[in-house]
Amino acid sequence: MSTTTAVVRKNTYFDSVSLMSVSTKANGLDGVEQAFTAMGTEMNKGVLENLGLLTDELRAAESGDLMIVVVAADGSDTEALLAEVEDLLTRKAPASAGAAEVTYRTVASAAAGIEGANLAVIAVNGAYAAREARKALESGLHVMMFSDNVAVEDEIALKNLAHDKGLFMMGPDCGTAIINNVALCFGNKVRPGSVGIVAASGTGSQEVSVRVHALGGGVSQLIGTGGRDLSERVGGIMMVDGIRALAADPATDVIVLVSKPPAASVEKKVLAEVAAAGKPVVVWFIDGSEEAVTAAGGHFAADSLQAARKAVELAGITGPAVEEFDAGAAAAEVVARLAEGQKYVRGLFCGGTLCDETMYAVRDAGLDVWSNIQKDPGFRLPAGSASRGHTFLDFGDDDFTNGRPHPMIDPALRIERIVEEAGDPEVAAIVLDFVLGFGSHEDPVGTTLPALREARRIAREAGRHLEIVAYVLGTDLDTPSVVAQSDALRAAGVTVTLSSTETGRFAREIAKKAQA
Amino acid sequence: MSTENTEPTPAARLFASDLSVVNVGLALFDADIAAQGAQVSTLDWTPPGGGNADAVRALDALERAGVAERIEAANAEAVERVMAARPMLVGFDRALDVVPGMTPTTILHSGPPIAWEDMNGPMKGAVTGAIVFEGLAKDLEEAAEVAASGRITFKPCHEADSVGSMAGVTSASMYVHIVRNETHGNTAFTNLSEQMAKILRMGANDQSVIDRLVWMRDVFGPMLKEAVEFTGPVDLRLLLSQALHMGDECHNRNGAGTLLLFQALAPGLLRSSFTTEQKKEVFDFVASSDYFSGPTWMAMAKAALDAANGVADSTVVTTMARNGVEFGIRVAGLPGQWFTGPAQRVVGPMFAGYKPEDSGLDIGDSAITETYGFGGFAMSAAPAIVALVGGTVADAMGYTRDMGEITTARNPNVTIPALDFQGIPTGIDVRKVIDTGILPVINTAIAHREAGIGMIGAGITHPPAEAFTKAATALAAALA
Amino acid sequence: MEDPIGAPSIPVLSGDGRLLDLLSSLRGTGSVHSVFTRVVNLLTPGGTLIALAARGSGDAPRTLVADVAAWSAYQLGAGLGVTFATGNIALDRSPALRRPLRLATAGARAWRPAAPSLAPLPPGALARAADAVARICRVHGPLGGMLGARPGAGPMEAAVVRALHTGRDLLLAGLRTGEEERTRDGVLALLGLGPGLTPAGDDFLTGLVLVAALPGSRLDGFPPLLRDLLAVRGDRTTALSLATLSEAAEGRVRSELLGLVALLAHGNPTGAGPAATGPRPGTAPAATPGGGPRPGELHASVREVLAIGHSSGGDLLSGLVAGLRLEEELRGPL
Repeated sequence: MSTTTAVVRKNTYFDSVSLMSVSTKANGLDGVEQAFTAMGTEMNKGVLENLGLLTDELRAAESGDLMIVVVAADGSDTEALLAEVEDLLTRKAPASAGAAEVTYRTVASAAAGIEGANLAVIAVNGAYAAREARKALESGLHVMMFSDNVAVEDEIALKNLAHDKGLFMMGPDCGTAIINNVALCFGNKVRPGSVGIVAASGTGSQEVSVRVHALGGGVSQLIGTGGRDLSERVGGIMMVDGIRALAADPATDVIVLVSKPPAASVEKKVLAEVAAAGKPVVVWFIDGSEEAVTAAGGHFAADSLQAARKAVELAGITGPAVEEFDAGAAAAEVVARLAEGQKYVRGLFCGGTLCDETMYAVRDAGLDVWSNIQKDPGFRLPAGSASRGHTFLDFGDDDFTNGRPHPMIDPALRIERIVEEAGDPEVAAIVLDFVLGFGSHEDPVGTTLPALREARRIAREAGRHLEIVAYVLGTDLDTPSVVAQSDALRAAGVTVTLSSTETGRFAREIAKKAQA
Repeated sequence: MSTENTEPTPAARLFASDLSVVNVGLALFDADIAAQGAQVSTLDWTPPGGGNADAVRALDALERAGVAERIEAANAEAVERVMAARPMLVGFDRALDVVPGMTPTTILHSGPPIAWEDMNGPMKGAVTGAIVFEGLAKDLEEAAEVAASGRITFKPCHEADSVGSMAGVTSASMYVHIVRNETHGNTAFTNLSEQMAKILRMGANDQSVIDRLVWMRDVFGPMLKEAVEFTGPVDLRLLLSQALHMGDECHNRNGAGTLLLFQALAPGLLRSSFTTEQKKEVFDFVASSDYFSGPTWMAMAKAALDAANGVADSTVVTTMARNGVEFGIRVAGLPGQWFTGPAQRVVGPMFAGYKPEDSGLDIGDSAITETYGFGGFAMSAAPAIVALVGGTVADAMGYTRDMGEITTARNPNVTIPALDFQGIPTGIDVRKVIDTGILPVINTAIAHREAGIGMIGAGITHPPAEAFTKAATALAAALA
Repeated sequence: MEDPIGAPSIPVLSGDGRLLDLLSSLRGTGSVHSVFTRVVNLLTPGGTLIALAARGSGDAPRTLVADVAAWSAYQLGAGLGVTFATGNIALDRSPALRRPLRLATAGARAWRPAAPSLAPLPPGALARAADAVARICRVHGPLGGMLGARPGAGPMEAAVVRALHTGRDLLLAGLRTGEEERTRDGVLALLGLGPGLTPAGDDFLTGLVLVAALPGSRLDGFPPLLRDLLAVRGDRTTALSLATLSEAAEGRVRSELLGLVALLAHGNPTGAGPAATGPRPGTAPAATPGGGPRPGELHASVREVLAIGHSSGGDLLSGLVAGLRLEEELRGPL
């Protein structure tokens, strides 16, 4: 039995000749027995009724409405046919005969020419990035700005413009976002879910999203605000707008905030939003204090793992039981194998927040730590200087990246350093991170393994045990997967930790015991 | 905060839609986003102003709040004037009698101002030919002395309400088109087509060239003058739009336009007071080359664009012209000023026997057609042109689309059937040229670099970016 | 405010004289009703549907012909506001274009068609005219409406064509016998019936009522009857058809059709044919000698009508032919 399908276009007008051509083309579609276009007048509906073709939809058509009646052959997919007919009606004449897909030259023309375009990813030289972002915002696009080296004045102007238009101005200098389950720039493949993340830290937010996933939860949106958003000058414009957007988002049940500690005035502003969100908000301000967060009604997280755990718990998800890692016992085993003089931990990181988390864990044990991202100038170690004591380097920081790709894309610089550290008889352990996911190197472990073997050979030949600890940030859904990369590390004798937080604890215990 | 507001916020709309990304800069992200099933379109991005810091600074100044709005309004005004202009061919006459400022010793040339000693070979050839034609010297040798003597006033056509194709050399007793912009009241002039390849405007100047000029002065010009007296004014914009519908772009391809113009003039030519033999000569002469209407469309464009000159704050280009050494542009908001850069090479197929190194640099006022929005800008109206200038039909379509990115409006009076009757891209905006890094495309003839040989090919060229950078800098100084 | 250099507005080249009279005193806000490539329909403040046609379109009732090549380039859309003021009509455009599109009606040539009279035609002339038109339609007319279904058409088209023919027969029978009830049923059977944008039944009625509205017609009772019926049953068809039919009932139809009727009535298409396409250099208006259509002239005129819409022309002519035949029949042998 054939079925009637119909499209009714309210008060829509086509030139008679193009209408005729739609009708002819519709008659030529596979699976169409007959197609007919006419206005929805009484008489026309009467004819259809007599033929038994008058559906309810057609019955409701009025004189000024255009009816496209399609009688589909038995067994044909009427939904698909209808879509094809709709397509005939809406198809615009091709802008150029025979030309391939249109390539746009400017953001404005792309925004105007691509129906439904809603977000621009800007990854051009910092000198031009602000301009392109402004054009995008002016064209009504949300912006994810991957570029760094953007002047803070430009950032403020752009964020104010975005705020006025109700748009997102994500970035600069924090290349992570997940919008509608699509990771932009650096990001991991995680399950869709109810945890919304607003983050001023790239790898910090990647870590939280990956932990949430591992704990059985999922991410609704991940909004990267840019590393400077919570500074006094920028004033948290994007984080405030991000919290509000997630507070209003029906798909988000729990909000997680990730940042280095904000400027005091900004913290106040952000915590006021936490109080007003109307949803549970987990706050992980790296190295931040609990009191203010709790006072604002937020849920304080002391580390990334705790942030993810609280979020998942508040979202009502019971994930797989996770075995607690006994960092103390594991560290004791390591230290037992060390030679005389092996005292220090050397952390070589791609992810800034991963570096921070481990560095602070060691520092919190009362030990001195040197770093290129140390806040205390007395312990700051510029790029190019040799390591000292417990050293933690962020290879993603500007003074290392200057002119080069980010170490998540190009790990060459860190590979050299691994071998260099292995030759230092004071080194007890080297701690590394490997960041998987979109935007990252396609096989970061594989490309580093020869250097790890070389490092262990150097130590072995000098009669030392060199402990290599690595954390792989990624999920089972990433390509390559966290499982494969971890297995490859273990096979090379590397101790693989299971979260950034655990990495910090393990490093702290080794440092404490080795130095003791 | 309003509780009544039911309109979703842009953020809510984003969360509720399919993600569609415009990717600027890194192609790497294109693949990642596409792999996750989202729409992504990566721009063919180049830094604004080709990365020239002056250009970007000027652009930033012109885009500042307050300034930008003024410019937008001015450009809308300028381009409305160009589009509303209704140029009518109202007659033909001797340059001396109609062109403002013309004297017996004035010689107009194409492009921005240039001194005799700086002119290239073809322009020098045309100038000396014209001096002989005017009887100011007995031969070419003496003509060169006269040219260098300071007795001749050299002036760009554009500064005498005129345009001239190729060398653009126009002297007192040559006949010119008179094109009146009925809407705004201004008038534009241009020389008659000499039809052949070996002609004065291409730098040829032997006796055959001079003889033809004499015939044009004594028969062709006067007959055209009488013809229009019989036919009455001819609506050139209307004929132009018809010619585009018939497959011309009216710069390098003029077959349809010439038929239409001749169709309009033929009854008047027949009724003129000349002998049948002379009429046959004229008909044969017109039939000898499709280019007959080429200058006519130039004057049409000039009459329309001049209406926009002097619109304060406007960044719309009203002139693009080359003198064989320099390419100059003029802008509506800075009347009278030229912004120049070196004339470029024209790239395209050459006539048999010539090589690229034989070609002279880009020359002539004919880029006024592109300034109005046809010629290279309307290549999609003339897909057959690709055989002449090289490239593919898809390229032709692409050129028109690209020109849409640097122009202010689409002229609804002159449309392109193949683009669903989209209007031609009109009103080149200096800011957009700098912003997009897209330079206007010009279809043009290639003249031999030496005097006396003439046209040896046709092709495509662009203005030097430098001219636009200078214009943007001057605009920024004046407006911001 | 006056623009010193000349307002950038689009001149209206010609227009229905009655409409121009109406516009001269019309103030207020209307809207864009519908947009086609070459025609934009507007609703006046009073709700009357009027048309803006592109250059080269023929004059027609309630229509202005403006100096534009096509409307598609102007980014107009249904629902946009339209301001009617002295001497001009301003159409709002998409915000990107900033300024409204202004149409200046001041210089428009007024089209005031006079309906030719059928009275002086000798016996047999109407039938001969009808036969000649019908012959050309048979060869060149588009199928799918009054002229019959297309070969291989589906059951829907066949059913519509059957219904059209039934309605036509009912209406003609009613007119022939002067039975108002049957005539009314016939009209209602055709009104709004048929495929495409303009229902074929309406086009047929237009052609038929035009003949009836001409001076000297024996069918002079039909136009008032149709007008009354439209007043109460206008909802049975589209707004466009309603406007066209109301005008046709007063003998006012588009110039192509009127030109054909004039040609049939006295061999001279006065004021008909495509409107002047602006100043066309060198072509002085050709004097048409009177006294019967010249060879090929009737053919050209019918082809012009056939070119209207996709199948509208054929349906209009079917109505015209039916009207002429009926007229001849009712006159009877003298």
